[in-house]
Amino acid sequence: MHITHELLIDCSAMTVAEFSDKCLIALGHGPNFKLKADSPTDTVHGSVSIVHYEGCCEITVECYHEHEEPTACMSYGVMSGRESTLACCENMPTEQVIRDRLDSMKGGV
Amino acid sequence: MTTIIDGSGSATFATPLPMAQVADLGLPAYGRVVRTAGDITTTSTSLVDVTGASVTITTGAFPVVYGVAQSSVNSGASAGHIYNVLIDGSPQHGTDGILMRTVAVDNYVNHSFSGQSAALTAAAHTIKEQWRVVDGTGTLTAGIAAAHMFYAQEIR
Repeated sequence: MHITHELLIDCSAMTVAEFSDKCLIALGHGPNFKLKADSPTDTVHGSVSIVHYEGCCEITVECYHEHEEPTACMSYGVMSGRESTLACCENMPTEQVIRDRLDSMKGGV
Repeated sequence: MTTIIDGSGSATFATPLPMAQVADLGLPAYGRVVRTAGDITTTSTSLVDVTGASVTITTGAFPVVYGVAQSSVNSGASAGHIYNVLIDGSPQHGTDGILMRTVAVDNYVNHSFSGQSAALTAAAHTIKEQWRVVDGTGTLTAGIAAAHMFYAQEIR
């Protein structure tokens, strides 16, 4: 199950990659609330998808509410399927906390 | 005798097309989305929609061809991106999708692909693209300089 939050934030003063990284930091990305996989077999608690419009961005934050094991399997020597684990965060930020963290980026991130 | 003339000339068939089929021949439905509004990034390791890459067309009982022209990069040097196309929610490239690799940070590579469905029912159908990363942050170009194109066309 996923919950999606959408906000509009001014990000005109930075590159796509810079804004994506800043967004992850603002959201509290780390071992206890992992939003980006550092390796194919990593465990993640959610994800961030961004549409980088000119002058603003549309951010979608996904937080996993159910644990999902990897779906990957080896077939003829080739790994296919998802190797990452989708985990429910033990200390899941509330919807309001996530909104507040995104709001902290307003007016210059 | 039936003669069909197309852009490459004409071909003559000894066996006429069935009249019922001829009567049903109309213009094939098609649609495309060209995105230039801004690049798209994701860190999702499960499939998510590519924003805007969705086409709804009303077809006859025929297949559709679809495709996407896109370039991509990942924050990891050699990361994987998975792409799939859903027709009315049904994935066309397996339960996961097509794996494509990036080669280096800041080095955009061609991640275009195409496919063809089985014959659809005569109705409206929604065809859309999804993607995910294996790890890292994936970027799809969708700007004025490097647009993202998604299209579908009925075959009849």
